[in-house]
Amino acid sequence: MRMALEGMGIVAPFGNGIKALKQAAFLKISNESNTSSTPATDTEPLKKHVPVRSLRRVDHFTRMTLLAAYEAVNDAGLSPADMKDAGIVLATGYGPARLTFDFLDSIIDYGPNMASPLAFSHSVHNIPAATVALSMHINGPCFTVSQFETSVAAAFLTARTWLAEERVDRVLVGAVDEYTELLQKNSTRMALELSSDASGGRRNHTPGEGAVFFCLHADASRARYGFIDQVKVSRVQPDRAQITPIFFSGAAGPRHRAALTTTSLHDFSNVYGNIPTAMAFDIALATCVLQGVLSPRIITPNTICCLSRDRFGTVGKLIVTPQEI
Amino acid sequence: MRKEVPVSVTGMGCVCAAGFCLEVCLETLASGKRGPADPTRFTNDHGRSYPVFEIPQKFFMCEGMSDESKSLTFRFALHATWQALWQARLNATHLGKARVGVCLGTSVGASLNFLDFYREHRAHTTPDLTPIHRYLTSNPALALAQKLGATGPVQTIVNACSSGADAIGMGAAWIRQGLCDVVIAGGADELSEVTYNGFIRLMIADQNACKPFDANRKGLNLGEGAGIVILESPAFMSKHKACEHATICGYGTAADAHHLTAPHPEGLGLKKAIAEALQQAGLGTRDIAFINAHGTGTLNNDRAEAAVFKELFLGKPIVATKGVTGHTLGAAGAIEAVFTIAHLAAGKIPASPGFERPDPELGVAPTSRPKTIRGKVAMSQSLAFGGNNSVLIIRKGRDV
Repeated sequence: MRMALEGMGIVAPFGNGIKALKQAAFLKISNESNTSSTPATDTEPLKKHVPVRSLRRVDHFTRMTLLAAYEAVNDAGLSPADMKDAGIVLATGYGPARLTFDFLDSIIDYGPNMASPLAFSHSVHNIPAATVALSMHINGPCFTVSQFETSVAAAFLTARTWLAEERVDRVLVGAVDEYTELLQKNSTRMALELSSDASGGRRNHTPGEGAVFFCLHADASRARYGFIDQVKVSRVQPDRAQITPIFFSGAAGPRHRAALTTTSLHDFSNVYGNIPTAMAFDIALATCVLQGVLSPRIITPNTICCLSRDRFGTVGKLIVTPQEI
Repeated sequence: MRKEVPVSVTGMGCVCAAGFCLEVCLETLASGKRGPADPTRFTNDHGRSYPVFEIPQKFFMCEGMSDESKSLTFRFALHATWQALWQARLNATHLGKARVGVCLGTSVGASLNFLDFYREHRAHTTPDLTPIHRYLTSNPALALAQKLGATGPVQTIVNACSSGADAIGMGAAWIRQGLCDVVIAGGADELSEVTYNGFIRLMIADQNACKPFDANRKGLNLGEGAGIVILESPAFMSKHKACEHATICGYGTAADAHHLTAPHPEGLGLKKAIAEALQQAGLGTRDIAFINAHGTGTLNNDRAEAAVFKELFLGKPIVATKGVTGHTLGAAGAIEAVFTIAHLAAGKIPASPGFERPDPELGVAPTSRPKTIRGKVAMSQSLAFGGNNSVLIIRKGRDV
């Protein structure tokens, strides 16, 4: 089952939109800038899409989610009215972390009797995806998956499953995670517990944040950015790639990485930061590379394999192919 | 939504406050005995009782259940999985030869609910990282796949209270689409101080034992546990002479897009999910012998479900079982799917624990005494935060 990439929305500390992603990748690949210490994502442009009043109680995680979702729909040349029966799948490594900690703050500061019910209810993992459904009036299936670095591949697998069984024609697949000070602290402490090899190259990167959404369609003629041709999420290690370059994210030391490919393995953690949903950024970047619009051209492949591995040894794998194939 | 072939259920497992295995849970359901109480693993600081259905401490003396490096959610899932695999007559040799998928739903099991850790962090101390390590190594589907050496797809669904039903629906699709031979599907969740306080603050927790659909219902009681089903492809079933206890013949899921924490009052999304599930099963409302309601005991949930029952299923028997399990969140849809399969096999449904007095406003009522069931198809539905609605259509298996 081939899924056509109709549109993309990107919201991240390096800037919003595909242009910002390409620019950030260019600078980082050229070693012209470093990952910022505290990522800050601008969600102000969300006001273009939803009334300011309705955003009063919306947290940062959900704002990133909404903005990336609206941008993906726009980018596909669609409006929310076209999405009524679409599916939504949101991938997240940790869920709305700041809001979860806000609820814990309210328990600690005011006692369980006065803890914030709003912070609690909105910190439930599936609320950001539900907010997209509510905001765009989407009545299709609405899923959230949370399994660290393989969340993105699992979300695409869900989309593929729904499209294959004709449950929906179109799916909004998103990936979101947010930076918190506690996450930064824990990452630093845990990285120190790991050898450089076991940290999978992530120990030096600040936790990242951001949101990426893709508008996918079952009809190949709808493709604007190419296709997702294969999706796998399993503990079977993928065959060693001979030609296809790999965009890699997640947990794997040099030994695991060497087992994945005989040619080129690209890890853009220095672009996005240490973020469990990095694979979504990798997919967006892969479409740019396949369209030949990323400069300098790091590679000129026919397909790109995006891989993400978690600490359980599960590997998410997607093949991104350009429109012409 | 097109009609699809049914997917066989060859094994089931269950653990909750009603029992550590399905047989005991069914006995508890039949007896109607229940004793929710204040939680014992954390304190209730609300000055009044908010009882829960907690799994007793002796459970953790069962084989493999005392491993504190793993979350309770994972341990509940593992316990229910072992039961289900045993019933399905699947051992390590079988699993080693199959593409085994793992699809689990959870809510608390994937949440950052480290209250004590966070308190220490706020106090500028350096808290022990044990809770973080436990969280990072206990993601239900990933940890279960790792434990069993499963080689098929792996997915942890976090759709709040419909997660367990969604995981079964997704697992069935994996079998139909040839992604694997066997799927371990279901849901698991544990009681947590954070969710406990959250539900109390939302003012939807009952101070007494919950009363789903009752005129005097005052809210839910939280619970914990796991429900697991083993789904198999026909080809793999024939290799080890598996028994078919039931089939998953339809699954529908739809969003209300109405409110983040309350269901659509007329069950807009629920009706869509029911229609999809019936379409996939190639059945109509007349084919449904009984309905397992979500039945949390909150005013809004029961009202929305009742509106749909009245419109589409007037006169059909309804059973609500959270009166003996509590609301087990991400596990609920799976535990109740397991109960539904067992009720179909037995040809009867129990009285709905906690229900005493019909609510005239609802216009429908669940069972108040055991009822014989003649049909072969049942429906189990789950409603969730965020306006998620998920429905499973389950048919009695050929071997029961």
